[in-house]
Amino acid sequence: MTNKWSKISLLLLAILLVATACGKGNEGASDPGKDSAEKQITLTFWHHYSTASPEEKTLTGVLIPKFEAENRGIKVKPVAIPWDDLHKKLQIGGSGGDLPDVARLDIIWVPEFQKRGLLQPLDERFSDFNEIAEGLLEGPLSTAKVGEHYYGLPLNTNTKVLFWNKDMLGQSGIDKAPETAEEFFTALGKIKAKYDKSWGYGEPALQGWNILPWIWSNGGDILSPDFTTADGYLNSEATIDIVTKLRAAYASGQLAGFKPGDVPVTEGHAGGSYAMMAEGPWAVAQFQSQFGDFAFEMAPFPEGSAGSVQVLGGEDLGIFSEDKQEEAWKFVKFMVSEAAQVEMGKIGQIPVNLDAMENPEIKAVDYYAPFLEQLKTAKARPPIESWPQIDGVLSDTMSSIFMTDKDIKSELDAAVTKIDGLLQIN
Amino acid sequence: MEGAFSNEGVMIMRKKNGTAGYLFFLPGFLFFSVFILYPLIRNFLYSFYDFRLTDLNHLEFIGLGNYRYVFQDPVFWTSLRNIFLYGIISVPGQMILGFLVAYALYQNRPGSKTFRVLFFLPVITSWVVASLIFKFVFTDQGYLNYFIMDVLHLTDSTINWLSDPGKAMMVVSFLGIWKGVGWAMVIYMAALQGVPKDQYEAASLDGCNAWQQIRYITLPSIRSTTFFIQMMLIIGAFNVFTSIYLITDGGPLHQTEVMLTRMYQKAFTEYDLGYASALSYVFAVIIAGLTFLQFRLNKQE
Amino acid sequence: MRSLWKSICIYAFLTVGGLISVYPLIYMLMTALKPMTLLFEFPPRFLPSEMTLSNFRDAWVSQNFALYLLNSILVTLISFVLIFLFSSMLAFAYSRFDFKGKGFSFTILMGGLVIPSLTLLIPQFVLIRQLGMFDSRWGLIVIYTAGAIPFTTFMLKGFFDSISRDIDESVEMEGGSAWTLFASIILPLSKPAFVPATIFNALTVWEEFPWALTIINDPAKRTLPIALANFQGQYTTQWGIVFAGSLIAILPIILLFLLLQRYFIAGITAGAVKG
Repeated sequence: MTNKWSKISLLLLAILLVATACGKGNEGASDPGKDSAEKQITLTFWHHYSTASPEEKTLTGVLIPKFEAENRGIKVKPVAIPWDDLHKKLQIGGSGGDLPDVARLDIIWVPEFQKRGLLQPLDERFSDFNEIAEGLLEGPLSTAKVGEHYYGLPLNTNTKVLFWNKDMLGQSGIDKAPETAEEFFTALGKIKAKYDKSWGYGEPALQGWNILPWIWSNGGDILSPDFTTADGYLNSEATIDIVTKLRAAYASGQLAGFKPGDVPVTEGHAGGSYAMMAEGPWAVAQFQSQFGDFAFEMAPFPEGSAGSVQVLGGEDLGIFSEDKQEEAWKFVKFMVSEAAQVEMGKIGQIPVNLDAMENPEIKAVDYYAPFLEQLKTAKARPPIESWPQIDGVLSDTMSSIFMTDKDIKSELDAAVTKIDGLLQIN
Repeated sequence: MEGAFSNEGVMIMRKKNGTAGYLFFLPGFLFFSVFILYPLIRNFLYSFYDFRLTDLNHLEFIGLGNYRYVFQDPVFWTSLRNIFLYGIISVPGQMILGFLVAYALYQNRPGSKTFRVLFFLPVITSWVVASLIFKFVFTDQGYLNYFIMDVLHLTDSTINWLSDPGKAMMVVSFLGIWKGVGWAMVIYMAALQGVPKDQYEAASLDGCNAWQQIRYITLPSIRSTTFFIQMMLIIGAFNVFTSIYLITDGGPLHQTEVMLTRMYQKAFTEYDLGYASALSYVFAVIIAGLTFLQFRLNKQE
Repeated sequence: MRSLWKSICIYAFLTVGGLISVYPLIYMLMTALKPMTLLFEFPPRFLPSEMTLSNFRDAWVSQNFALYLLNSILVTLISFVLIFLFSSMLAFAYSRFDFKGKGFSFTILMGGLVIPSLTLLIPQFVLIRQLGMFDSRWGLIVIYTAGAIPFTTFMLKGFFDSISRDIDESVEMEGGSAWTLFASIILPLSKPAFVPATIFNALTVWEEFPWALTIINDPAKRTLPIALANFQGQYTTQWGIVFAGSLIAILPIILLFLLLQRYFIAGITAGAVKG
């Protein structure tokens, strides 16, 4: 009987041994530089390209091998983390020093991590910064600038354009994409009259990314130009005007997409549920791979009194590393170089490198034209540390406006108070 | 008689092994204390501080401030209401269906084994996957609406399962039932096997019908099992998170928020860890109170 | 006649219930078999018009899926050894001994049953860092183990309580120690109780996500749930691959259940759940 027990404990011991051995084995495997070559350095690169996507395949299959071949002694270890989880991991890691050497950051995160002192000021650290920066697009480059210094380099840029279903609009008696907001709202009514079970326009959420283009194009804003208050901007006449129109369209069933249970917007656009939507270049990739029969059309975002102002999206590369800065900088420079930018550009990541933009392979990507045109007037979301929280307030307020019949002005006033509170804390 | 005898056994053990009890008790309890109890106490301390995810090294004492915010937060009350709603629908749902399935299966009818596996599959399906699938099925243009509107022609207007807070809570509760029936089933089956057969025989001689048998023989003899299942399911109901997080994310307008989704949002979208800690303590007190209440009621019966 | 009707009713009830139970898994399989991720076809089509295994292949080869599977197995196995070691000893102490603080410590332990693990994420993170277990699989194992101790102890104590104390006495008579009683009598007799305890805990450990995401940085140490989450993109998600990967991921749990289910019901005796 006791024999049995000793067998169990032996088994236990064996498993523990195997476990520790495996643990060590893998540690060794993940850091091969330790004993083979003295000067081998491994850079950790956190990104949010989703696994099995063309972007991720290009990164791990083309770009990193190329970089490693060109820079003997430097290895790059890519780590994929989903977008919002990446943000959380960087926040938590920032308090304990568990950060990557380089990370691909959504442009709206840069101010936050800069404020916490986690990002290296690249223009101060590296003498050839200006030389590199000069070769990049100015708008995206500005997203990496906080105060006087640059805390990253742009990696890719994007914005949204109007996608419209030619067939549905034609059937509703509209022969071209609406050019102005006025035409847009008229079109919504006509589409509803023709297609009772569809919507004229789909908007997947009510965050700044979705709502700001409407407000900006109408001459409104969310914060003052110096980002100190929302009063007089989020609750201005221009903002109230466009929000009122959008709510009316939602209430009469002409606009949907952001409620739980709504048809997903991109799929729904291809499937005829939404006659129009505003989306980025990834929608094109999705149409081509999943809805080959769908003939999508693109046009500039409808113009308001202040023009056609869309929101600027994209990612920057930031360096967190304290001790491998030179190597990290080499990798960042490689990622924004013409060759790397062309590779990513071919699969839908709009380049920021000026030479890459002129490259014939990029010129050949026919669907870039409307996006490049829209980018000329695209505007960045406020580059302030508390933006993610302000975005939450904005989204809550818009939901409350759309889904209830509360007074728009007083809802926006309440949001102003909350946002001003957030601005004061930080 | 037997009780007295076994007590004596314990007496002997205790006398002879005064410290042996601790030797069995300590390793597990210490391990639990280090990795659960200690973080729990730390969490309690955090609840009195202004403590943010953006800087884990900075703590500012604010006394009961976080608790005040919790009780002033209208979403807290919504989430409390939703948790009770979820519990009131999903707990009896799992128990009744679980019992019925167990009752139908425990007598080893032909095919029982297959059905047992089928009913248990949801228990071992991951919450994430189950939630995603429910979301697709109940989406406005999903299978269910298609079935109701285009196959059965029951109604012409789309049923907004997920954007109407009441219906969304029903959907999530239904997911809870779907996932939990198998669990209640296996435990009831085990208990049913322990009910002495001769009692049923006596009952059928007395002319009891099936319902009377269940009512007067089966249910009373598995009362402790019912209590156990009920307690575990209520605890489980308070822990509901993944399904709501993935299906409605608390929306629209925080109308489907529950305790854990609210806590998660406060901690990781608004970075307010102090608030989240306070919320989790309010929450723990409520569950502890409920559990205590159940024990009292169970004893009184 | 009446009993025939009764049978028909019972089988109708079981069939409808069984179909509802298994439907999502079939839905998942069908989506995973569709060549393109047409999850939102309207009108919805249940059977794919074309079938393909490419999603399964993509899920398996596009990242180190086999390694993550191995990590998940490793973490789960070691956690289970520790869970059973600690819980069975604790349960034995509560079942067979009287000691100071018994009632109080048991209340605290059962308090652990009601605490959602999510609420402890940050303090546990701080602790694991201090203990130097950050970015290691041990950091996962110790937290999973500690989290499973209350429920497992509770279940095992119920079973141990149901084992007659006459045995204790006869071991005493023969001069055996408490350890002999525990290791040679109680544990072997309780084998069936470990089956449900395994199945009830297995999924919790197997699909745990937030904690694993928080403390594991090195891709070589990742578990399956993190790998699965990476198939979802910021703007677009390839649902076919997500579902194919998820199916591969739950297969071991289903196998475990099928393998153990013979002993499953026997393990949950009335004694084990009496509380």
